[in-house]
Amino acid sequence: MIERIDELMLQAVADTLENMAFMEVLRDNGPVAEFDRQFQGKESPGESGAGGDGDGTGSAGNCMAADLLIHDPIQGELRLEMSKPLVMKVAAAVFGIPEDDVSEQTMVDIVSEILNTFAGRFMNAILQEDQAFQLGLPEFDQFCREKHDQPKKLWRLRMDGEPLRVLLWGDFKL
Amino acid sequence: MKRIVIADDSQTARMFIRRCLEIVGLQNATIVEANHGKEALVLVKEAPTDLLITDLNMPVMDGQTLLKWVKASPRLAGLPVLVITSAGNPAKEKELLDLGAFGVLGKPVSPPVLMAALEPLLHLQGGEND
Repeated sequence: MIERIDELMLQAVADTLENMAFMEVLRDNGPVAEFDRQFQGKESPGESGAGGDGDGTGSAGNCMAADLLIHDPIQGELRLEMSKPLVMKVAAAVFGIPEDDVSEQTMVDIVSEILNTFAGRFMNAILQEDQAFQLGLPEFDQFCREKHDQPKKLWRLRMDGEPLRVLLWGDFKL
Repeated sequence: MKRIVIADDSQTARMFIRRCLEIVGLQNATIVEANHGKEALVLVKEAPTDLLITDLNMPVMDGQTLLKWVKASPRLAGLPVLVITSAGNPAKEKELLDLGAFGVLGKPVSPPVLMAALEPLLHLQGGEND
């Protein structure tokens, strides 16, 4: 059983983002529905726009996401979802440029690289020292689609007041 | 140190390493970037290079294959190769060092950690700003 998985994941994400962007990552302890609503850009429960067709409202409008497969020794998948304003802030901090100058391509790359980095740190933390692991290449999800399968674990976090989520699927013994 | 090649499929990672190199005093080096191992191999062959920094997980040619190619080449075998990766652990680190890597660091690398890793190399080459 993986002990302290919550702590290990939070540490992996925090170490990554604090080193890259000098920004603190905290758990979100507020109401879940309110978190998800903010994260997906919905102002009220009745608002539409969850289709993710890039119409600028709902989840696709405010969310950027990337997925990464874990191949060995555990089969699994990690997903990172961040609000667009947060991605812009991190990109501006990493590249040392004004937020207005952050390109879409840079934002895509940042999300992928953050996922790639904390995925490695997380796997190192949960495996034995002599256990090698293999990760796939991060894949950006253009439409920030909701996954069909319920994740095994979901972490709701905040950075500079903005939301991010980490989702985990796979043969992890929790 | 005059010329450094950075191989990583992430623009963010390459920028981050570049900034760390500038902070540790290598701002005068020519820094050339590659998206993957095959591109990096072309770059290190085309001009004398003092240091190759590479990620492991890359498309087309990964970092471990790149390391093997470099160390198998009579002309390039002496090129220091520093691996900076999120996919490393003690077992992988040993494997890479046995293949001839100069060092293995975890992402995200920080300037002090990079400096400590490069110090022996800078000492051998006679300083950072030649």
